[in-house]
Amino acid sequence: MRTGSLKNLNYAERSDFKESLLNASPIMAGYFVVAFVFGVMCLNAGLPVWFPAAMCLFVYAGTAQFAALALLTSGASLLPIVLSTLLINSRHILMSMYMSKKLGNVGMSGLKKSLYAFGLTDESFAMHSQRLESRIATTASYLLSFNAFCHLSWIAGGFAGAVASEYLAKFISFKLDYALTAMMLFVLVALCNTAGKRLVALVSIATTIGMNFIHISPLNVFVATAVGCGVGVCLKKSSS
Amino acid sequence: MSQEIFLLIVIFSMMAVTFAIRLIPLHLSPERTPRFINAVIEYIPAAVISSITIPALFFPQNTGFSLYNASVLAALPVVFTAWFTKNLIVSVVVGVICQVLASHFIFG
Repeated sequence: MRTGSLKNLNYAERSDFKESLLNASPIMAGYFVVAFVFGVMCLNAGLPVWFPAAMCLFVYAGTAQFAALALLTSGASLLPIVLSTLLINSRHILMSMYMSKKLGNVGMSGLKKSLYAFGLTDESFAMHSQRLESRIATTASYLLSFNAFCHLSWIAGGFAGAVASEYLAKFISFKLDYALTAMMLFVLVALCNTAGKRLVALVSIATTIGMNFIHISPLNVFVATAVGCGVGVCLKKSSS
Repeated sequence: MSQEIFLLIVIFSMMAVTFAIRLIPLHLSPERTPRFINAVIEYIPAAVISSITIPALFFPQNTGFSLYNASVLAALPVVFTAWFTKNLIVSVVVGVICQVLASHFIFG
């Protein structure tokens, strides 16, 4: 079915497809490994085989999934799980606000926007915002196929981890998950192209680390981002 | 309630929360946002990506602070490579190799 529809794509769409696959490949490698570990951990916690795959398919949120797993194994009820999901993913509010403004130039229907929102993660946001900032021509099909590749690899990792947990649990120490950190560092270097943005980044980093010393919480990233942006805007106003 | 039903409820409530957070701000119309918000939005990528990525290097597994570890050490060649080559794949490969080498030979 896939190959049949691929033949009907015109040249531009096919090159979007290829380009997004190439650009998504570091995320795909990282996601596969992280989701694989998630799958193994779920099975070790005594959860059914379908659970990690379903979680990866429907929720698609890395840190929130691991937090939910920890809460489930400690016998928590629904409310703490939902609240921790809300706290951990609160940072996506800011990313989604940014994308709402930038996707105006891409031209996306409401349905495609909703589909895009489902695939919005830290890593896809990093790659897409850096691409949009550097004014590379970007189409809706590029963005959506990019997200689809990442999501498929996340689901495949969760499923493979669950299936392999009995046989491969001892082999999961490979370090391919550092691919995600390296990718984020690359994007950060590319994004911080003005003195203002470098300052905003430094303020955000310092705020997060300071808050981590007091209490490590998923909300720290949200607060630090707001503080960093606020400082950036104030300094811009006072200098202009 | 069987465990399987409870797990399904967990999955679908987490999906609802996660999707709502990603969906609602995306559908707010950007024309009506005040200029102040627009200025803030320009700084969001640098702020959010730096505060997700860099502090995590210094707090491995969300535990104590550590200034010198394999992930911090491997971050230096990644930044260096990213700056000079401007190539994503090369930077990622350099990072993974350096992190594996550092955690085996320096912190092993």
